[in-house]
Amino acid sequence: MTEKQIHTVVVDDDKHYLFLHEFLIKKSNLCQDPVSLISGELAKDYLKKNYQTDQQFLIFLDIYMPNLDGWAVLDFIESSFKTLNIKVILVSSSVNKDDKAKSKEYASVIDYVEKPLLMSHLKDLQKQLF
Amino acid sequence: MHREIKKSKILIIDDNTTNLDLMVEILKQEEYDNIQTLSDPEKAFETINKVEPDLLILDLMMPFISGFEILKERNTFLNEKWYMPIIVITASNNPTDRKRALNLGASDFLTKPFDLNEVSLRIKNTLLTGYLLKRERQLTENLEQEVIKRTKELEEEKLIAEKNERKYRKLFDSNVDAINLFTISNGVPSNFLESNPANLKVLGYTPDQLKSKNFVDLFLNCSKESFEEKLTELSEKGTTQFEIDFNRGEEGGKILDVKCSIFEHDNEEAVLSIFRDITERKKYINTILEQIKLLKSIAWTQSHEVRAPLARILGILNLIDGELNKSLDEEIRQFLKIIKRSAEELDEMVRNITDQTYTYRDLEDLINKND
Repeated sequence: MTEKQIHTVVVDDDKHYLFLHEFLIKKSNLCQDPVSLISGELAKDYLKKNYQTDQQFLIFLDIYMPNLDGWAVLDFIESSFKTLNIKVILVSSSVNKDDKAKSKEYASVIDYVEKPLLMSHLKDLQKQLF
Repeated sequence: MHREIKKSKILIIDDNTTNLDLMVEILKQEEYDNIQTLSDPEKAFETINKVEPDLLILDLMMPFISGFEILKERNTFLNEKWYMPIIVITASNNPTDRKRALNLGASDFLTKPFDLNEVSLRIKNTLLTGYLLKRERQLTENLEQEVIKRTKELEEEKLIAEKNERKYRKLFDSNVDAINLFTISNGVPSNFLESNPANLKVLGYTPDQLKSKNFVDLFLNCSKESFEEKLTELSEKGTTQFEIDFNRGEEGGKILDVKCSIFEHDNEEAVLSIFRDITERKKYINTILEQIKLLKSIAWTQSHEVRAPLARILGILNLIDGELNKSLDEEIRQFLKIIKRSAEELDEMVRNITDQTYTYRDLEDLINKND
């Protein structure tokens, strides 16, 4: 598995977070060309258009977004695709225990990070994935 | 008994002091120790009344007042409680006197000259009869007293029972919960036997109307399945409690709390059922629950909305403090430290507020469980 084959996607309705997360992902060398999407709908469209069974996807997904929230995106992912090649990291400013518990119900979710996302998170992730 | 008899009070009346001495001597030999004598027959009545003897030994032949006259008059000075047998002393050759004395109420006679054995036995027998009679009277009297006492107790108990009945009747009648009594045989409830006035307000029926209804009739509109479950629980455990939506058409729906318990009544299984209108209480509880929900949502939304920009600040601060730290001079680094510490403090506060929502949730659970 080489770095190029992993499509890294950041989904957040807050453009400042998109900027920060993109910066961190590049800086950590996890990926040099992450895709930033500013709503759940755009995430859904992106996956519909780009999903391929032989490609790997890593999605940093915010939970609380207007209209289509993170849970709805997850429901879409798990009902539409093989979750083996889509891995999701939930990144939320929520510190609610219920959200963390709920995230465990999704097979594609590999981690739940309370914002802020830190460089150390990404370094750990890198070790875990590669 | 022997000792009791030996202690008997014996009065001997005889004008002949030699005879008196002789008789006293005989009685002493026989171990009687309470003997009094009188030789002046004119003082006979007075002495008898004063001494109240258990036995009177009386010589028939005396001057001034003869033994016969004393016998004749005995009824005038003896009272009911005091039994005094009389043994008369006669001459052996005079059966007419003996017969006359016995007719006048003498218990027995002794003939002169005395035969010691005969004197001893006749006195003993007479005293024994007196003793037994006295004891029997005492027993009868005790029994009578016992009967009087018990009758009085029963009357008092009856009064208390009547008072209690009035008291419980009052409690029953003035209770704001509807209370009904009925019996159950083979799982089928009888019509209501007793109902209090509160039924009109709670269930909308007067006690008289309820006499032609039973427990099941009240809840015809309710889910039959869950209701039968409750009746089974009642017969198995002896009690049951449930809440039920009660609808009587013209009036709006009510929520009733129903408590039933079985007790033994005239050898039958009777059920005491209490119906409490908890519609108002439910309304209050629902208001409280809604308020808790609102508070929870406020606490949750606020904490989340405050935390979003805060986490942004913390993210950037961490980035500067980590990756870009080397390019900063010392003063800026110190300021950065202060800003970071302040942001972390704010974050701590927000987390505490979020934790509060769990307290609200526990409160919600508690109310739902207890209600």
